[in-house]
Amino acid sequence: MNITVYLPFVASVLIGLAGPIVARRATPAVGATTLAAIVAIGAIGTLWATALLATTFIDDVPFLARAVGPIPVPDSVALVALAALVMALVRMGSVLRRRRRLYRRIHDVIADLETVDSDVVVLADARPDAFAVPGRGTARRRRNEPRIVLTEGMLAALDNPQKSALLAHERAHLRDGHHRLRAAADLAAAANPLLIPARNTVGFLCERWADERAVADVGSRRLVANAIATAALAQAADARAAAAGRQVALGFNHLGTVDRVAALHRPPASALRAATFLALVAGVCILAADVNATGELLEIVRRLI
Amino acid sequence: MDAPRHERRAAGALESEVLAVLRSVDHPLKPSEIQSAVGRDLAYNTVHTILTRLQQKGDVARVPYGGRIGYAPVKSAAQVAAERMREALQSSDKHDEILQRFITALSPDEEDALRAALDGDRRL
Repeated sequence: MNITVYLPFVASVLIGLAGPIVARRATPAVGATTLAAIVAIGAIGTLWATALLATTFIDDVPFLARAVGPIPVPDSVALVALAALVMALVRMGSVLRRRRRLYRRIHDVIADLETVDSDVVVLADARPDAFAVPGRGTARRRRNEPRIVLTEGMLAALDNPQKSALLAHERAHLRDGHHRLRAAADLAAAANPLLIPARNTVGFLCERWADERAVADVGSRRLVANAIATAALAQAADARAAAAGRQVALGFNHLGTVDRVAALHRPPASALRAATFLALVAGVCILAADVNATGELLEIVRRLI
Repeated sequence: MDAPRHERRAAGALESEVLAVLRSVDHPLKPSEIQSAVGRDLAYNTVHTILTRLQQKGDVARVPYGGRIGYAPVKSAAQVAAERMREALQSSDKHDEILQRFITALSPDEEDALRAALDGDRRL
């Protein structure tokens, strides 16, 4: 097994480092979709390469060693690969489970609320909050419909045009299936931690994408920017009031509220071909490396038979 | 040894039944009304004990009602649902990564930047 089996790992480092920068320069829709796709390919590539490396352990099994002959991969590498593979699969399983559990719990609460048949659910909670939760079940057997959850605190913080902007934003998430892109990126990052920065950018770009959709719906960049800023400040004020007198560590994350508002203060970006091009090159490299290494594995298997 | 534990569990079940009755209407209820709504041959004294316990917990409040004392739930079903939602969200420390959330926590610098963006037309 030659050096190309390691190529997917090199490509993942590149995707992790360059992917976010290039994708942020494209329109959010192109950037989010392309980056999520390339991150998924990167994860599949590294998983497969890891699995191949792990199988090189067979040249140490006494009665197979003679048939196979020595494979030029150190045993230590094969061992590390095996451990990494197991860890990756465990992490991916927990990502899937966590996601399913959270969706189920949220839908359980929604189901108990006696709401009129609407895709918007309002909670009697003074804390400003808003999120979209995708439906559950398959298209044929729907268990729960997708819903937008708002709190009374959020409704009180926004004026009517801002509320329309918020609803347009959340509906865009559901309509464009952003949760699928984010789930794919999340799984990929669980499979390969080198992809975590790119995963975070997919999350940010999905928010940006929904913001631009909201702009198209309400017809004003400034209005959407103001809705985000107003909602974020109301939530921050509420969090500060709740934390008064106590030392509470507030979690910051990478979904970049300020960056989103700043982007809305600028004119819309034009699609960047470079992002697609870069993704294509990286994807081909990873696939070629995997095919090459797979060919070598098949050769080893043939020698066995 | 088993008897007291059994009794306590039964009391907990009764408490939630009484709460459910109080939440199902949008006005306070007299103990006798609660008694007949819960049914199950509940003694008036038992209802009274449950109401006192619920009041101590802060789940129900005594309010004047029709010239007598009525009881009303302190938390509505909607508030309970909101609390359950909060618990559901807090059950996963990764919920920000899973849910499509409109906004997330800000640092003080970010707050200043947003306030400036709202106040004037200053570019971020």
